[in-house]
Amino acid sequence: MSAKILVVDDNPINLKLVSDVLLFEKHELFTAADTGGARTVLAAVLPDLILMDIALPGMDGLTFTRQLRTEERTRDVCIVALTAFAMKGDDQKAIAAGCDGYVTKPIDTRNFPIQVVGFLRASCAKRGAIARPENTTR
Amino acid sequence: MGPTHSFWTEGIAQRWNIFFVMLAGVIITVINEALHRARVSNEVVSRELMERAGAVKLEILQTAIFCSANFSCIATDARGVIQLFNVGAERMMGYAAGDVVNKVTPAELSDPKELIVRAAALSIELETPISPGFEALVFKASRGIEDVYKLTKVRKNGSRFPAIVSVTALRDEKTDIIGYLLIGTDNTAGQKIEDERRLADDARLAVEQALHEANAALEVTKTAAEKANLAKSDFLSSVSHELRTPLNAIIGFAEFMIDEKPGALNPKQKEYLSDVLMSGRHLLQLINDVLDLAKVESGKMVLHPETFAVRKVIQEVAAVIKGVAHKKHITLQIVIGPGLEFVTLDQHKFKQVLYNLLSNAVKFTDDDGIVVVHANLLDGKQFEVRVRDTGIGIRAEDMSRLFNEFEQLDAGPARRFEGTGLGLVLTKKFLEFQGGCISVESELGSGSVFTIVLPLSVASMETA
Repeated sequence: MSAKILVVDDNPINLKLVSDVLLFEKHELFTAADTGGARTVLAAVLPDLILMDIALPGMDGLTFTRQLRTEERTRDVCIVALTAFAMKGDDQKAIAAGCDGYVTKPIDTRNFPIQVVGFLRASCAKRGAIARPENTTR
Repeated sequence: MGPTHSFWTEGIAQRWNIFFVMLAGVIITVINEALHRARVSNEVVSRELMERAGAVKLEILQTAIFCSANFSCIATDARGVIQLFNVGAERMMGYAAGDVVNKVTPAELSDPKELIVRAAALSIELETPISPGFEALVFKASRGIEDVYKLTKVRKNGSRFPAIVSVTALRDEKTDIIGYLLIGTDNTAGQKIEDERRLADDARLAVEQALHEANAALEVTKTAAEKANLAKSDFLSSVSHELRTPLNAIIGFAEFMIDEKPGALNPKQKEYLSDVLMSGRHLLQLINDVLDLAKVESGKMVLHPETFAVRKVIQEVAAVIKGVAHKKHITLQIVIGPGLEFVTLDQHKFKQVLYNLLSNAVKFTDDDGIVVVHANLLDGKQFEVRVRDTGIGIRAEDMSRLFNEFEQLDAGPARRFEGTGLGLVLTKKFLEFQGGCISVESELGSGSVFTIVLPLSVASMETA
């Protein structure tokens, strides 16, 4: 299962780690260091999954997620918070903002690709059931 | 004033008896009513007394009243000049009858300042000017108003005492006032009680005021503490975030390379990267433990109780430990006593406690040892879990340091055992937080037994 994945993270090393791990799994990767960069990518590509850091310079990831949820084009995109905010309650904040999932850093590089596939499958099933019944075999 | 004059100057002998009968009656009434609220008009009193008079031996009565030592009886003429001053009055005031009779008015035996105050108060109350002399003592009585009041009397030697005085106007047949009768008691004891009560009230008020102030101060402190706690919580969250961010890269890339995803490694490269990975994970564990501890300390620890099967959870934790135990050829046994099935606790924290105890047991037990987990129902309310190992044991003098922060026992420059030294501290805090406790028995060289006791059910609660 290969998918288009946008990773938004202001820390270039972490961005590289997540991208490289997922590239190894043959996904198609797009990266952005902030929400502005993410906008630029989104203008050209509609990804299957957005991995969203929460603490970003300028607009934070949760506010950005809430925005994307109000826009027709990105309303149903699978967005997963990928964050070093790992205190109790941070997960609920992410879900409340409209994220489909929540993964804490440090990531487990062995398990992370499996988690990503899980999110993609769940997202597919959800969209297949609601929006596009014909598009069930990706 | 004519009739009054005639009362005292003409036919004194005839009227004296009548006077004493009246006097006796008034005294009896006043005593009966305990100097209060004799709601009988002077006329009625007089009539009744006249009727009784026939049956009473007047001389005896006169003598009794005159010699009564407990009440002062002072009778005056209409102008206030003292005509009668009984033994009680002599005793209380220190004057002999001869000192005062036909010489002074009772006003001169009273505190002049009080008279001024009383006159002023009466002037306002009765809306007529009243002079601060004898008039102030008898004005109400002269208007037929029953009057009992407190007053400070001044003795012959200048000393003072509080008195309660009852005043009655004496009237002749035509109801003209012919004089006044003042009956007094020494109120020193009553005043003392009143003063003490007032002092007690003052003290109580002071205490209440102090309490109120202390409460206000407490409220301020509490608000400050809440703010500080909030700041601490923000700080913890931010520290956690900042430490995890670089660790993500350290652990992630090390793992990625060890798995040889980017390319093959030689054995030395692999070994060193394993060291990087292990240190990274150790650091992560340390951060998690410190943050947990900080959460406990700052009251941010929250319980999330759920009902689960004890056996299942113990087996799950044992499964995690099994790998390490297997490598050291340590036998891991689990024994669950009868009747112990479901408990309602914070499962995550229970697992953490078990994991700490089991990993310690395995860590400190040499190859081919045995670790036994024994869970038992204690009574209807509690259960215990014993973790017994055949490890190195703990010296008696080290037992008390076992639950101290960052104190891994035997911590020298070359620590033999990996660990943050926070495991048991957190274990103890997690247990206490759920109403449980931990104890340890150990013999150096032959192993240790850690016993935890927990309630079967803990209600959802928060500190703070």
